[in-house]
Amino acid sequence: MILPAAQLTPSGRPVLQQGEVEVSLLDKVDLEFQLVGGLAGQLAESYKNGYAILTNRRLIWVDAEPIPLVTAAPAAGGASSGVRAASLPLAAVVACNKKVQYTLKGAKVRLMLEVYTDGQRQPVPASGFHTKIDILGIRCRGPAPDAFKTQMEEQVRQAVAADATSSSAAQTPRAPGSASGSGSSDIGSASGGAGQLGAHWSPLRTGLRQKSQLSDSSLTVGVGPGGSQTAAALPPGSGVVVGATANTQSPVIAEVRPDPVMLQQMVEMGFARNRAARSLVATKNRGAQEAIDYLLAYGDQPGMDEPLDQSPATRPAGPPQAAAASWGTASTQQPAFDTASRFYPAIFPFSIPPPAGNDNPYEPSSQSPYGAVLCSGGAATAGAMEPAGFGGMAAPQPQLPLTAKHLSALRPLSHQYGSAPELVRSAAASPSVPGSAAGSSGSLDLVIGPSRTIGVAGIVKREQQKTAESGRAVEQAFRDLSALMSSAASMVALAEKFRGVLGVDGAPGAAAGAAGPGGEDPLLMDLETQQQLIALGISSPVTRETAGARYHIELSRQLADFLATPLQRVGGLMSLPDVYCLFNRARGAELVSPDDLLQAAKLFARAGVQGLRLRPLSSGVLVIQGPQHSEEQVCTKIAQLTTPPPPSSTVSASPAGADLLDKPPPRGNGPPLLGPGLSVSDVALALGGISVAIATEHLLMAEARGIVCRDDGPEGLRFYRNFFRQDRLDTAALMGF
Amino acid sequence: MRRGPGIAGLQHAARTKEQFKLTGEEVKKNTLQAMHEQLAAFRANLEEFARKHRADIRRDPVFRAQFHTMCANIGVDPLASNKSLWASTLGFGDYYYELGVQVVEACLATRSVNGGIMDLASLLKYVNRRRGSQGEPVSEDDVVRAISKLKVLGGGFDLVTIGGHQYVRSVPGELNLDKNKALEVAQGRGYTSVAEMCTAAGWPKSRAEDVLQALTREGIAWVDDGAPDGLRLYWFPCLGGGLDQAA
Repeated sequence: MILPAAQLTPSGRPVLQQGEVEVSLLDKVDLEFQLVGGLAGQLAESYKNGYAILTNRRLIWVDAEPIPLVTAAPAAGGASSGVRAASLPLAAVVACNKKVQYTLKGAKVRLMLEVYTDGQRQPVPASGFHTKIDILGIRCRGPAPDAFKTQMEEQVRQAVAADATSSSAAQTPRAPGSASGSGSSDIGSASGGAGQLGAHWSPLRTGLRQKSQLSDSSLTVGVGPGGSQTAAALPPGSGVVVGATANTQSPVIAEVRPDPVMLQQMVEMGFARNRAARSLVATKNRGAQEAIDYLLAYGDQPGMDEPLDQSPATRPAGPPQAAAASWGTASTQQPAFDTASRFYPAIFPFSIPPPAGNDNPYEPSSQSPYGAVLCSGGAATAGAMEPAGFGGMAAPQPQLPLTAKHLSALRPLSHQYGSAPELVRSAAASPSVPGSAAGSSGSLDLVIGPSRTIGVAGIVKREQQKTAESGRAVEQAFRDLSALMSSAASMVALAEKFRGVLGVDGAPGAAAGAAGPGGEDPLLMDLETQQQLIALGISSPVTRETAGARYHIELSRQLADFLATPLQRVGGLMSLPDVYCLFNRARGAELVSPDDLLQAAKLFARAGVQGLRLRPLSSGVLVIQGPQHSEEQVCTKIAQLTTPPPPSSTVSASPAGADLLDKPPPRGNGPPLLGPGLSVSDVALALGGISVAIATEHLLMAEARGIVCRDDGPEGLRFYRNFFRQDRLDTAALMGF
Repeated sequence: MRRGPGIAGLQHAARTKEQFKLTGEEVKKNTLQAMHEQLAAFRANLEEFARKHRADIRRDPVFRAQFHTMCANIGVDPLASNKSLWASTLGFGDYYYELGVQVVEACLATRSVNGGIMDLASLLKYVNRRRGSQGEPVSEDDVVRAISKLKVLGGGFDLVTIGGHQYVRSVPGELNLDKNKALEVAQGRGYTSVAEMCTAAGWPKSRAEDVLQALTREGIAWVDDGAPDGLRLYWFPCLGGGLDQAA
């Protein structure tokens, strides 16, 4: 099995993706492959002596060298100098079994992972196309892996679920490529392949995505491959509403009728016609085999045997709420999704109903809630798209009279589908669009009459609705913890919006002497510090739970990664209390105690961190110094500062390093020049603006190494080059004094 | 808006534009006002959640990361726990470590103004504001304990007593006796001058000048050349006592 490489930071910690969080760590782990495997270019039978990190998306194995080799040019990726890091996406894992082999020398404990792989022996997620199942062995030489295994199974479950959702959403834009790429002769699968939709597909999401797609790319490009392919694949009676979509370059294809060929196949196999039709519709004509699987799985649902055409009439308004709830929770309820299939026509951005022939089953009343939402999502672009797009539209928009009932059905959606203001804006923006697109399209009315939704009054009302919606969203989200968890993403977006708007306005607002709410500046820190804190935030802090036995080493690595930026800002030296404050602020509520911090700082060398060292100053202060403050560098700099300028041009520039200490300075005609004397403030300036106390420390350290000598006189303390050592002193002449 | 012909049309257009601008500003003001209120509600909710559901938030790493992003954006401090009985008597629990983080943050934030020396009263006020409205207020004794827990991080962060008042020093560097004396002399009014030092402490002029200039170099003292009689005054922002009473 070929595993993709995982990126490592300079200190050896894995680079985590957006939204990825560490969960656990297992020490002393070997990877054993079937035959050979590993990173591309470094195939071996097994990778020995590493540790495994479990995150919520991947399983990362890292080489545990005691000290990585120091390279001349430290590489940015982690694969420098033989530290291998391989990652395995959790969505590709099928199962995990623990196997214990008892031998004379003891027990060999292994975790066997079954992984989906494709033709190139690379792992593919469960929803992708895989050819076989490969086995990866994890030999655990350290602590017992039972807890790790339980956590891994939990994360695998979540990763597979998340992957299924995202793949169904991601496949719709990929559809033109896949449609042209698959080149399948099977009509059903061609049109099905172009419209690969999982159980969690949402017309709203698709509509909003189309909004961005349509504004990006030109129509013609998309129409070509997608349109021609699917148009060619359209049998007349299939009822696939692809014709209209091809004109809008929409990759989403709605199947509302079962494919007759597949239906016939299933009937010949002995399944009841109505059941077969329903299961084909539910699996979107992907294939007869899948329809049969669906049928066998859900055959016991009530209503499976009812004929397909009559269902919309019997299920008007109830399903919208149910469907909304089910979509919100991304459940895999097929019957509810089946209901959703009734609303396929509503997915088109311009809310075009299917061509007149297929109009019968679809009543406006059952269509309208989603029609409104998607009309709004798409209608917002209608104005922009209008010059280019409308020419292809076959049917004009119908007048969809909405009642308050449907508007109330609209409400629960707004909370679940992302930032509430955005949604309501798009819903509320629609009335303005008909004003601009009055010529070719119909107008869409919301609840109130037209006079109150256009013009300035409309704008005012929309702003009010927007703020009311976000207020309601906040209220609902904070009802209890689980509500907050489920709407956390939208709340984060809202919080960032607040910061963006009010952070910018906060300064002029406060400066204008606005009494404001509360009369005090709510942001106690200045904006820059706050932005830095947000930028430096550590989303996956190392804790005892996530790191186990390697807690201090991983903590010191995370500290080193974190400190790179702040150290540079203060000139390379930071005292430990400041480090404590910044590090804990970045970690949020996961505090690290002062003792742990001290331990971690002492372990910099052992953890393989380049450049950072904990340094006790003579006054008892502990500081962490960056690479530019290492002792060698400082001594070199000070030696350079104290060498006298060369008297003649034949003498070369002052050599660096230890030569300066022993080599006699250039001799002029008389006794050797003493050179400039350094005071503490000179050194502070020369070393980059560090504080006076630190400069004193450096000078004292240089004196201890014999590079400079001191002169304590009436002008204060000054330091000169150590001429005692460097010059050949004439002892006889000295004795004469 | 349609522009009529002639000057009347121009005037009409100008008036209409003016009206629109006013309406726009009105709308913007209302929206901003509503947003401020929502922000306050958001902040109050976040603080309450940070306090009540602390353990649950810490348990789920993905949600924890999102919660911290929210807090960082809104300016809420997620370190919020109340002192428990055991914590105060035996010194257990996270309370003092959190307080330590907040104390160091207070010193960091004001270091550019007072040079690294902050008096305890203003430190207390800062920390209480930062903790938000939901928690119990912090007392001086708590701050002292939190600082003592930071001792393991080496020197450079401790309490000094100058002339009866307590200050928190957060920069490494000694306050020798001369500097202490200067701060003592300036404690009454928050400022001093060379002449005053000479009379109050009985020093020669050069010594007083040396000390005050050293304090200025370290950032603890600020020079004021705008006094009415031209005398150079040295102000000490860290001696917040006098200024607070005036305000």
